[in-house]
Amino acid sequence: MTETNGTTETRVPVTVLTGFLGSGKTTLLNRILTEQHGKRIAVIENEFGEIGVDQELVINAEEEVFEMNNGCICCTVRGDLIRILGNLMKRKDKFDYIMVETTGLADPGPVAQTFFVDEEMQSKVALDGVVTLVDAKHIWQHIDTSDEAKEQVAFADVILLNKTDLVPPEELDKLEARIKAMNSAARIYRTRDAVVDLDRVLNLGGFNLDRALEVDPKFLEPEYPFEWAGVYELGEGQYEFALQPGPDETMNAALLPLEDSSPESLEAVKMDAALAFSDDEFDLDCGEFFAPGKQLWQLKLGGRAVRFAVRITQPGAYALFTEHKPVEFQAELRDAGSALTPVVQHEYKPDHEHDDEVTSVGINVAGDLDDKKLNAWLGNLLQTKGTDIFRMKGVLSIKNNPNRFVFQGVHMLFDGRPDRLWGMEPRHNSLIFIGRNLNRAELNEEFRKCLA
Amino acid sequence: MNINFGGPLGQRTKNDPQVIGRIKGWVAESFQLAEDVAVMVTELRCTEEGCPPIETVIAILDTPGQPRQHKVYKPMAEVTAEDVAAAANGEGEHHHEH
Repeated sequence: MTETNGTTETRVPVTVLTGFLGSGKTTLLNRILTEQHGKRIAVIENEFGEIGVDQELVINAEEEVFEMNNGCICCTVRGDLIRILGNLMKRKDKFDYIMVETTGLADPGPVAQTFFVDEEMQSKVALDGVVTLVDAKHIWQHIDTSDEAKEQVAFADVILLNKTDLVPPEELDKLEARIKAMNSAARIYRTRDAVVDLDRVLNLGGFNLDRALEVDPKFLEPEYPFEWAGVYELGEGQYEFALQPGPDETMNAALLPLEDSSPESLEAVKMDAALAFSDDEFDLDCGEFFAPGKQLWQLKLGGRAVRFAVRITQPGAYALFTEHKPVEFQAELRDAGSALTPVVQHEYKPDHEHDDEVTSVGINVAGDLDDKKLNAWLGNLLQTKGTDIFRMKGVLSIKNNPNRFVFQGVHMLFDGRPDRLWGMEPRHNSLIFIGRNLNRAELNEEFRKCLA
Repeated sequence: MNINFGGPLGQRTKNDPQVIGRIKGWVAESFQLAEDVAVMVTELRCTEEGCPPIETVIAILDTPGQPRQHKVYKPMAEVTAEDVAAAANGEGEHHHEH
């Protein structure tokens, strides 16, 4: 039972355990059941499950997926879970936690949606978290080819990279980076024999985004298609942008005019830069003009030192956005041969270059939202892209409302509610989408249009 | 706070648990279901052309692997005992999932 803003959460928490066969789900489950935690846990085990301890409340489930649809809406749920949970609810006094173990090949979508689709169920049980076990040694056999493996990673609140003893540390680092790129909201722990502090997998609090932020404060920081920006005060005249050979054959860059040289002005132009970087780039060879404006230029290096001419006709502040950090190319903006020092500069979290179609998009914006605009946008988004949005969660600041609004969702379904008061905390909006083929720039831009 | 953003299912209004309980009671009675049979009642909305704008879907999960779905083209709060009885008598749309 948890207290939130004076309201007591009386719903029974449910943890869903996913992971490929052999990843360690049953080991973790047995560990949870044997640990002295004082909880009475009901376990819904998959048909191949092998719980090794005496447990009164173990129910065997056959994964029975069924589809509810009205033509254009398709929502797939687990019929067996509805039946089992319905019966469990009638004996509510007998347990205070539910664990659901899925088979290795299960798509976690229907399991998760089951907890959102039936309102009666929603009033009695709450999805606390999805915990995904990853076999650190064998995941590479599936992660590129199996939709289920990708979705198990995408749906997770917590990912245990298990069997770490079988894999060298550098391979684990590589795997962790890959997984973070797919699901940047999940907390990742490295484990051996599924040994993990139970506080890290149970009672996560589906709505407690603060806790997630505590673990990795950067997880909601948006990713950008550029790694660096510098602000320069430029008078009328000709400058040059010089680069040495670096880790890439090309470097994308844009030079945007600013109101003034303050950090706030740089912040204000960031989205314009992101949009410019999502447009087609124009090739620029050594010696050509690198013109200011919302144009994305691809500077060709070809493994040699290059210079590009920059002609300024309107004196003022300009922000130079670069795809890579200038230091990697010893890149300099020069005036009569001398390097200029930016008045303000900022490094951005890079938009990871990877082939995965599954990614996460975080949005973090200060200010209040207009609930009508938000309804219209999110309603349309979920209706048109809901099948590709695996999970979303967030904290929102709704205009004229003193409470934070927290929500989480699965595909087209969501569960949201007012949370504690904002109080002295600056009002802001933090949300994350995890899904397939998400358009980062568009999501950011459309969300900003919902501000009051 | 009456915020209600969301997609097709998200757009449903929060229904009174009593309304759901009432419909489930009628379903159990009309379909003569045993006490432990799970019944799911959900309101679906859709704004796309060609789709019914609102419907109440009643799913009966009595036979494993073969849930039965019935639809009443009304908001959940307006569904009557007669609508449910009509569904049980095969007058409404219903189909088996396989």
